[in-house]
Amino acid sequence: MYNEALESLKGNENVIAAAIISQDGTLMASYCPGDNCTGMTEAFPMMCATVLGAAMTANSELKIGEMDDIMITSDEGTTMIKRAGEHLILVVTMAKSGDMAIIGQVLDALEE
Amino acid sequence: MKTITITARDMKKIRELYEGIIGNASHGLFCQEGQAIAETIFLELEGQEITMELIASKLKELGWAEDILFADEEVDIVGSPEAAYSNKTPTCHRMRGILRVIYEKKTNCSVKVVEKKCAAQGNDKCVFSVEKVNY
Repeated sequence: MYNEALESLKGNENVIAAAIISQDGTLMASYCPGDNCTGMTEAFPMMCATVLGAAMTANSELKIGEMDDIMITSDEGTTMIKRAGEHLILVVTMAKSGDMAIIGQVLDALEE
Repeated sequence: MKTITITARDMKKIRELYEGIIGNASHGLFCQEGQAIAETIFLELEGQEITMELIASKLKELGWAEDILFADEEVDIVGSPEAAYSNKTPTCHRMRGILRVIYEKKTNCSVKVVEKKCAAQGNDKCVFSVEKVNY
C-alpha cells in the first residue's frame, strides 16, 4: 500500500529519494533510484521523524498555527519533510530543478 | 561496572519529557536505546550458551520484566517497568528494541516488533508481535 503511494514519483528524473515513515521513525516504504540510499533503513527515517517532531514543538511555541512542512536545502537538492495524515510522514528529496508539487499525488494516494 | 537505579516513575518522566519535545519520534529513539541495551546484554552473555531461557532470566534479573514468555512470533511480558503507569497508547518502546535484537540474533533475519497490547493501557500484560521484514 505504501509502496504504491510512491508510484507517482517513480520515473521522475528529479526525484533523488522518497520515503513514507511512521511518526516514530519506522520506515514504511521507500524509493531511491540512485546511489544515495545507504541511510534509508535506520538513521534516515528516524532523524526525519525527530526533526519533524522538534520543529512541530518549536512552531507550537510561536502560536502561529499548525506547521505545514520542513524544507532542507542542500547543494544538489531539496528535501521536504511533511506530515501525511495523522500517523505518517512523507519525505521527498528532489534535485534543484525538480518541482515539489508532485508530492500532492503521493499525499492523495495516502488519503485513499 | 557501575550501575544506577532508574525507577519506573523516572522512565515515565523521561518519556513525557521527550514526547513533549519531539512527539512520537521519541518512541523510535527509545526503541534504539533498547537495541543498544540488548547488544550490551548479549556481550555480557558471551561465552555462555545463549538460550531464550537465559535471555529471559537476564531480562528479569535486570528488572525489565517480572515474567516473559517467548514464542515464535509473539512475546508476552508481565511487569514491564515502562508500562507501570497508565497511558492511552503502548509505552514499552525500549522493550521493542530489546526484543528486536533478540529475535534478529535468533533468526538471523530483520524483524519488526510491534506492541499490540500494553499493560499501561489496562491490559494484564504486554503483548508484542514479531514479524520478519525485508529492508
